[in-house]
Amino acid sequence: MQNTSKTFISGRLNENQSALKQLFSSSRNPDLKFRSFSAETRAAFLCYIDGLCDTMQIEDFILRPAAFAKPLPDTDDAAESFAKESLLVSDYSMRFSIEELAQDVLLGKCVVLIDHCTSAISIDLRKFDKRPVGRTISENVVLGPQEGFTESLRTNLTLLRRTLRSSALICESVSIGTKLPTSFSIVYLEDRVNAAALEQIRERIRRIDAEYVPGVGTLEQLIEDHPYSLFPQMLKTERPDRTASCISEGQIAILSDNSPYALLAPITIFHLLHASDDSFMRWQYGCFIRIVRFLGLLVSLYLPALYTAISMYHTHILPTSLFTSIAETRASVPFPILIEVFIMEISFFLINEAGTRIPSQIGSALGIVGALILGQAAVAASIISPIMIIIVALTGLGNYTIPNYSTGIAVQLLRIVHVLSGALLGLYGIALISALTYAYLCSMSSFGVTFFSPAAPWKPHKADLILRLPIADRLKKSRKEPK
Amino acid sequence: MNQLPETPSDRHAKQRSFTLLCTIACAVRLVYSASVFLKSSGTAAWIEAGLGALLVLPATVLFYFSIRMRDGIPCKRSPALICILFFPFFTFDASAWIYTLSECSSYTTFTDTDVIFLYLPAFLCALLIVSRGAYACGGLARGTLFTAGILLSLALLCQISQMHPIWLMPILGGGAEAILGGSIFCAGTAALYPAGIWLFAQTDPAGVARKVQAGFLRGLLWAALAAVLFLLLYGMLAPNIPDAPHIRSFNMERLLTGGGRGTSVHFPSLIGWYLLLLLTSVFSLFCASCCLRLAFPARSARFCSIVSAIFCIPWTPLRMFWRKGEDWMVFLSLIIVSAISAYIWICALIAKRRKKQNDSQ
Repeated sequence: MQNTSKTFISGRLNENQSALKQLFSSSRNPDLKFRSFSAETRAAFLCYIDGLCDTMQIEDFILRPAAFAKPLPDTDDAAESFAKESLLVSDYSMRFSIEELAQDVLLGKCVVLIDHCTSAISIDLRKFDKRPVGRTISENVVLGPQEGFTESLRTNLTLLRRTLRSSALICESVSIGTKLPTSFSIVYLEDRVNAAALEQIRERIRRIDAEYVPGVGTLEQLIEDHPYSLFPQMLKTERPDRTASCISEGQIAILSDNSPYALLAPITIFHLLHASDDSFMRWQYGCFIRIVRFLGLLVSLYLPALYTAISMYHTHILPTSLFTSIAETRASVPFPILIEVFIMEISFFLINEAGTRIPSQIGSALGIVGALILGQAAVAASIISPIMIIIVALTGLGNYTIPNYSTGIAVQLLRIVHVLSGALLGLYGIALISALTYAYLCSMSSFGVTFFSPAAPWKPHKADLILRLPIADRLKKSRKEPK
Repeated sequence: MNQLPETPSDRHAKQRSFTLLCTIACAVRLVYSASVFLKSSGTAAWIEAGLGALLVLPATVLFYFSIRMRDGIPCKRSPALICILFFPFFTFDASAWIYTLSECSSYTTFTDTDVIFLYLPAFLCALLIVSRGAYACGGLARGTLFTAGILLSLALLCQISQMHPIWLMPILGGGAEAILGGSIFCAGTAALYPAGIWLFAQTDPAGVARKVQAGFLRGLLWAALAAVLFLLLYGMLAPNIPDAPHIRSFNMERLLTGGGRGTSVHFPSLIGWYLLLLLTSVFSLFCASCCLRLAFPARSARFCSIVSAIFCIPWTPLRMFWRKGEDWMVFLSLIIVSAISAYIWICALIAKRRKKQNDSQ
């Protein structure tokens, strides 16, 4: 954890100023500002980083009142009485070491030191440019709130506080990183939280000895249960409404500075397959869309593998007309089916990745490349068969229905494994790999909650895993359940 | 990462999953033994399966009462010895079912491939699943029940127009003697069901024993019902349409319907059977691993799984080359399980009386 050796603030102002200047290498850091002024008759100075503090507020609430400050007592708490009686600020705290002051300055606070005082005032007057609250980027919904998290922890906490108006909402503040600390916040509802999971999260965070944890993405990898698993065991969401909904069900959210995401735990696989507008819609529509999504998942995972297995080993399964049609379209293709599948899969992965990175101005070029070159031209050149295009297109569409981005990638990777097993052992191989994958997922857990629960191992639960019940019925059932 | 301790609710969920695993494995054993291993009984296979379940009932009831009487207190010395006695049967059983799975895939698709090459992937798959623990095995049971249930129901529904109840006649099939022999064989393959549940109850006596009582007898009943129902429906069909693509009747059907009929049945039933057979072998291997864990508590679950899998390997040639040997093993397992159930019941009875006497004093 952080270095605990401290240099206490001395009564001499010059010494303190030199210590701070030396610590920040102020000669090479012009954005570090030192401003001397008088607090009543005593010399004082304030220090802040330009761009992180509101200079107007510094002038109005620190410098201007300081000119009319009341006489300071000759006691040790003179700085505190100056803050209390003369400054026009509400959010301040007293600091006693240079390291604490440096930490506050880095956080964007303004620190005030007064001559002959062994304590300093740290005042929160932070104001910096940040992205405003806007629409979500990777979790779009048709119905439901459109706000997304931003890179500012404070703004994100405000968004949550605005949604969950409860005095039981706790936002624990944690600083992670031994050399370059980052601010994190653990958010939960005290009366509903899974206490064992919360303790486990705290414990795992305490054990982190990384020098720098830039955001929730890195934190997730440092505290998850199964680092080698393909599937994520914590849910990253950029939606405050979804975060609030999960917190209200007893889950824990972790937010950080510089990350427009909340990390939710513990989760099950069903959290990864549900979208936030499922419950916003009427239950019939929600049910239908969920079924479509689960079908999309199955198509994405199995279609290329089944095509490979059936075309290579189980042609008798196909109706004769379909079989001859496939054989005809493949007649001029020089590659075996497995190679054909891989050519198209890799092409699709390339288009996908290029689409993510490509500047929006030239994004339309990607469509041309994808549709014309990889689709039409490849078929015309007899490199791939038309049916392969249909299969890859359906697979891609299926993959896009998966609401969680990380899960989508996990499914893509699993698809490759399934294709290989299908090519090697046909349906037998696919059945074996599927059983193995499923058993592995069932044995996984996320902070003490088994990954497939409450379906496997089965526990009594509300019918909200694949289908949705009308909300009124769910409420009725939950009222009947003994507390 | 350190894991959270299991709660009672987790243990009960695990127990439920394991009972389901046993139940499905038992049903598959009854169906497969009656319809595949004993073709002589023909359409009377459902009677054999039902009678087989009935023959296992006494052993199941005795295990059930012994757990009830002990009221959560495990036997002190005997489990290790009993586990060592059970261990070869479970490893043999696991080996036999993995071999059956690979044989099934060879029969339906890979006719030119040596079975041993198909055996290895299934063996590794079963080992990996078992080494992931009870949640993996129990979860797979639930998933298989759902998937294979839907797929096999679909396969049967697709053939409903071709079902002929009259084909179940004459109900005696190969004759009373064949049915009795078949029933004993079915009972032998299903005998490891109560043994498995008893073993699992020993791994967590305080948490599981009370809960295990409810599912114990019900599981056998469900397994028998499912097996009998499936065999009744299966018996009304022309033989082997869904399983064998190379037989003449299948190819004729395919030709006449332009590939539209029969073929559609093949896919779901194939996947369904692969999953069910894999699950059955997972059950046996998991029980073998439980035996080792109870006999040598200091060893880890993963170590026990690997050792159990290694012990399966020597049994494979027996299943491959000496079919009669398998029949003997199955018969022996019925006798051993029944005898042990009686012994445990007597021990429990004596323990209960002693406890009563001590309480009264």
